[in-house]
Amino acid sequence: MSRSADAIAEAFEAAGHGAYVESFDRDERMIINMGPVHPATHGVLRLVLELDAETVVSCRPVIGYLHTGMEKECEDQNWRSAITIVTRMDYLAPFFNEHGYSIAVEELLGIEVPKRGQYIRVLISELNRISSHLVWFGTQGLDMGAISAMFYGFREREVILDFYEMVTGLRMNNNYVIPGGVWEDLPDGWRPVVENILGLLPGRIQEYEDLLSENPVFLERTKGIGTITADECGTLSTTGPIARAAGIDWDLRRDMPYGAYPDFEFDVPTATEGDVYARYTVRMEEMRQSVRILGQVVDGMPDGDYKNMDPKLTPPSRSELNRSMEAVIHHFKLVTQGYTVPAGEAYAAVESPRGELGVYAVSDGGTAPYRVHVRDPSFVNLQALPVMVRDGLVADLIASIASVDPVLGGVDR
Amino acid sequence: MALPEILNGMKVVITNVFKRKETISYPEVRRQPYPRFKGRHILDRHPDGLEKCIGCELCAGACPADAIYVVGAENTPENRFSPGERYAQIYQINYLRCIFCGLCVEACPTEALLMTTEFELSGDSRDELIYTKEQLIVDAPIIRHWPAKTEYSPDRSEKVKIKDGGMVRDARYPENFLPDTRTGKGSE
Amino acid sequence: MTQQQTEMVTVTINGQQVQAENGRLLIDVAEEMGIFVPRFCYHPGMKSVAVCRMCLVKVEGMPKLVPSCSTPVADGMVVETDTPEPAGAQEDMLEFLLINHPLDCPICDRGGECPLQDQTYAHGPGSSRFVEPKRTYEKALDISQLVVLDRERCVLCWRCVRFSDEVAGDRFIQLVDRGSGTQILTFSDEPFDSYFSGNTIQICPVGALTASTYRFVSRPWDLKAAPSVCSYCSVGCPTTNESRGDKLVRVQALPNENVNDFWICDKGRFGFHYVDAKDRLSTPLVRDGDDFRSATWGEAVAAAAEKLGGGKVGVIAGGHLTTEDAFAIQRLARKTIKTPHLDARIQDDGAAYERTLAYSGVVGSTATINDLDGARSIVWVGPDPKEVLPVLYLRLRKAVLDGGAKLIVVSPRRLSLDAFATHVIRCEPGGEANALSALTTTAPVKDDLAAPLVACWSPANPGRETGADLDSLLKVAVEKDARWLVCAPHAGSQGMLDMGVHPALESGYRPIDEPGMDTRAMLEAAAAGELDALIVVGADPISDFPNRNLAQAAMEKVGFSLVIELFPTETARLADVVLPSTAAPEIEGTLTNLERRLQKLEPLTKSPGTAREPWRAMADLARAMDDDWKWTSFADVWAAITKEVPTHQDLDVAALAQEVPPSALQYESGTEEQPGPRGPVVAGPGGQYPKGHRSGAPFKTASWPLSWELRQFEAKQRPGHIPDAPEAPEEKVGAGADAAAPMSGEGFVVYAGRQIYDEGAMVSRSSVLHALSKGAFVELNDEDAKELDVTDGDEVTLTAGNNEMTATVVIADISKGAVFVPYDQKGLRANELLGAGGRVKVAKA
Repeated sequence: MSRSADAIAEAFEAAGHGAYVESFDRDERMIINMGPVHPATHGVLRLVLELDAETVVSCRPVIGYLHTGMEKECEDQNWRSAITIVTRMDYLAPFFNEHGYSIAVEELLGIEVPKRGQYIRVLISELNRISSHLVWFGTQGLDMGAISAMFYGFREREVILDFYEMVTGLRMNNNYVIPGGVWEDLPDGWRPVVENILGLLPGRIQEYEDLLSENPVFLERTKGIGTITADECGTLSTTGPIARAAGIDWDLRRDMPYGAYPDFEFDVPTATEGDVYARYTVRMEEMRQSVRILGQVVDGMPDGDYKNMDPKLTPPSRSELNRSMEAVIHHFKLVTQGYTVPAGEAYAAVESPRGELGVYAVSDGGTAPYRVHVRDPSFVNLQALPVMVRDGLVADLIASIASVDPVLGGVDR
Repeated sequence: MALPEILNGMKVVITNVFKRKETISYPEVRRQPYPRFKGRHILDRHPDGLEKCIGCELCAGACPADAIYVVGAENTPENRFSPGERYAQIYQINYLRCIFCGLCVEACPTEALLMTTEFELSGDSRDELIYTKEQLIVDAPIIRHWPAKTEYSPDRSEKVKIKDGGMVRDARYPENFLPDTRTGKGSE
Repeated sequence: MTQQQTEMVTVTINGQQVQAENGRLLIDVAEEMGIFVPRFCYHPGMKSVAVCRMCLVKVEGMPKLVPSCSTPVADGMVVETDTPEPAGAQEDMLEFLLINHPLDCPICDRGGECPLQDQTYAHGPGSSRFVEPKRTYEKALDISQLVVLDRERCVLCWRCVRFSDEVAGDRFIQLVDRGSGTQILTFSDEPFDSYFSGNTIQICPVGALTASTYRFVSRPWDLKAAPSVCSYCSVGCPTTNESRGDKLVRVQALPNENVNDFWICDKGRFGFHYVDAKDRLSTPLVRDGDDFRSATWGEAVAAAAEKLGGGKVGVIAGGHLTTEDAFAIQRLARKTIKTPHLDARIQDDGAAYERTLAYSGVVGSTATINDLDGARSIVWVGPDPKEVLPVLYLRLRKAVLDGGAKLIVVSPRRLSLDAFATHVIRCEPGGEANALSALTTTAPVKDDLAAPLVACWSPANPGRETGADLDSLLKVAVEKDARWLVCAPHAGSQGMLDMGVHPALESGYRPIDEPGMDTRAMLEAAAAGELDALIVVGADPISDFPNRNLAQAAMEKVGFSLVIELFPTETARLADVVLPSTAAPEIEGTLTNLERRLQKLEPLTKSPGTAREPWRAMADLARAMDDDWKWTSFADVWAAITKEVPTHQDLDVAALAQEVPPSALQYESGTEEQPGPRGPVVAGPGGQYPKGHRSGAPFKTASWPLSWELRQFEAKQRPGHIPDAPEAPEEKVGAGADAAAPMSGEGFVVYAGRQIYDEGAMVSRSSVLHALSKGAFVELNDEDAKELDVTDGDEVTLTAGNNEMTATVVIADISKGAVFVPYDQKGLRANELLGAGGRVKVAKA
């Protein structure tokens, strides 16, 4: 008598963490626990696999090992300082979290972001897309046995992280994009640094392609592996490179533009195969397109304010603090209590390296968010993993996880 | 079979073997952070030696991690710590909680609280990581835990020998901190 | 009169139509609708003066903008508060105010809860155009022990001036000079000496007046707040206790128009330092020879329970305990130990509260404090309310000066009430009863005794028979169909009576057939060695009982004594077992005030060591004596109270719970969420900081209920079931019979009375208040003074029995042949004098 996979999994979970093995009429299925501390699950992701020999019969992602209640924590901060919390969610793409949240708050406040602020946001976001994809490239290669991919990916990422440090003072969790603009202007000498990065990257991306794109081992392990169709993507709300690799031509930067994106020309790469290799090609091309956008940003960077200068929203300058009573009062109220945001709700989405990162913010008219919910693409995309890996090999599962590129900080929030 | 492709990949690897080494042997060699780097704090003094900190607690009010504890007290003519009426009797930053977001520095109305580029903050106990006013006030040298001989510039283009590798004063001052936040000028 | 007030008119404010009572102020009507008009000078507790010009609004048809704080609503009025015209005027006013305001926010104690900050942020300009030098004054003047003045910060709203003039009647702060030099100042050489000075700090809309005890101590975001009730006197003013970390740092008034309006006295506001006094008891102590050793709670309770099992046991309770403590004390005495000897009257030894029972069915007041406002005439018999019931003094003053009531004061000495009384009847000490009997027949007083009349009585003269004057007063009241306020002295005194901590009354005012001993009798029995054990809860008879030697002898001679106390008082030092007790800010509990209003205390700080509430101590003792009450929580005690106390059987104690108040500084302002002229980014007034992990308080923005909600609330606060009054009282208590005051004899009659700041265990531990206590003085009639050849400021010796003390002479309006001495002052313990017969010889020192 055979038992359903679910029942087996339940029995397994009830039994704790030991491997559960049972003989069946036809075959010998095994329930095996992968993670939550496994180097190839990219964080504390736990997968409960039902295996028939080397074939994955079913896969159930189990999440929550990194859950720290960050959304809830935002409710204890004021609208401004909640940035320090949201930036920690998808920690490989902190600027996208901040950007999405800021757009939602700006929508509630009904304020504009000055042009320069918008350009700085695009600059920092596109660099972030590249740095995030470089981590994916490194880990995808590493998981496929190409350890040098890891070295190269992290080498270039380091250059970008140095630029974050130069601009924001921190390499991760930057607290830089804020409602109304960005916190500080770009520092002196930012331009040569970005130009250096832009000069460096196309060649380096070509090197990566040389390394992997035609490598027979890599092709063997990625082509036709972890396939997902456009329909399945639609059903599972999958967005980002995974959906684009399955033929869904959808990119929020182009299709629901926000910030300064309408000012730039870029292509949205797509593929039709929907396998790991297609996702590889899409992401490689996205990096090239980001470089293309960045070139336009550097050339077109306008002068002017980099954040909204409404005195009711932005603390006054140091020089004003020494002479103006109004400035002292506004500084005091803004840094301790923060501004109030009119009651209402707003949803804003940005195209993060992993797909649609949406922030739903609700205000009750107070100085703290009533609710902040983040639609994190890692969380939603993870649903596609069981579809990709069904009836594949365990080794292919590793390739698929790497190509989903989940960030567990975003999944668990 | 697929030899050309593999050779193509090997070419990339071999070329990179002969390129400049990207890693540095920390802590003997270190890289200087950029001036904006948000490291541990200092409390500055006025040129006449009085503390800039007036114990106003705005930093504590702005801190999202509740890492700062300040208790104010009144200056007396005999016991004057800062200009004006109020000074910080107790000033503590708990570096186990601090997330180095810099909101406290933005909140400080007197530019007393600044962040340095010092990031090597480790300790053997919790108590050791709660920095008191004595440790934060600017006259205390910033002690690096491991002596270093060589230092790279932030963008790694230059290499500098450092002599007193164990005791480096590296405080960042307002002029290269927050650019005037309201001028809105771009800095090119 | 009332007919006119309820006539309704329709007004339109910002496009919303609303019905309002004719004649109400526009600013109040708007606030009730949720439209906050910025203001500085307007305060609902005082008359409008419209000096700050901040509340200007546009009224259709008026040529200019009008101040909404002095404009009554009229039918068909169309008002705009946030259109460009009024908003621009508000912005301009703020710009003017900020011209001379110093850049002090970071060092100012008001920073973060400052109406000027809030309104500048919500309505003011974002940047400054003023570049000239600012006007400066000397900073931080200590205008009294309690109040610090910074004239630079003042916005000249007159609130403090009006408070001291209109409400408190101590004109000590005033505006001086003219034009841009106008400043607020006290009169040159007199300090700002008022019992209510702290209220000016609370109503100051800027940081011009700050508290010396709160100077640089904390910030609003550090504070945790809990609603509570002042535990000093029996007025029971609602307060907000605020703590930083686990240290109580501030107490402020919570407005309740039924009790305290907006005010509390300085004793309630600054007298909280006892909570973390250094000598606070934190562990049980068990006698070990001449000394004590610390013990565990269980050990101490077991040691006590062993001695309480048999023999004759007496129980003496103090006046600052909660209703729950009172219930537990009487339950332990009557049910577990089975002794009838229990009493809570110490300073007010022998006060005959129970006599009201014959007239109304309750022991205590039938009137409420609010009845004073509607009264045509008020009779006051008792001590000086300004010293013992300060906020009641404010309410009496308001009733007379605003309400037009006629006040008749019967007293042997001049009281602060005399200043605005219609009739003052100066009687001999002990002659109050006779004087009262004559009220209804003597012109012109009898003509002013008109209904509605409120008769007020409080035990005046420690150590003397007071039943006769109460009886006389009640007779007058019954004759005139009046209600009365019978004011037991302390915050918990009425609760003790309600719960039956009384030798002749069970809980719910049920008389007992065979009454037990009262405090004096118990102490006498103990001193004679006839008492086996004495339990003293929250009381210090040696300092407070009007016969010090007797109390001392009693504590020394009694077989066993258990004292439950906050401090090592003189009584506790003589005990065999001492259990540490809890202070009001640390506990969940209820207090019953002089109008029998139950009010809830919420816990805020932690009590030290193993200190527990007295009711827990009682339950623990009972358990050790094999009578397990199974009480573990406040709710358990109340379950028992509703079951066993008939007057409280329908009371839902959960309904008494109050919300955590908003920053009490901001009580008069409401929420504001409307978009301002600069777009929607405006913050409302009110210390509204993000809630959560900060040690700060979760201040809510909702305005604190000021009006009808409180009235609804009151219905829940007063015990509902009042037994029917028995038949008309018998004439057995003749007015003159008990009132045989010893007017003849050698020396002067001692008339003693408490002062607001004395050597009491709680208030003396607040150093700022202790410094204000008046010390040893004696009031003499000027004729007597002439005979003794002394004058104001001379030292005299007072001799009574073996006791001899020195005091400074104050010539005062007091009946001849009597001297007034403060009750419990440094260098003058009146209870030593009183113990020796109530007469004192006075001689020039």
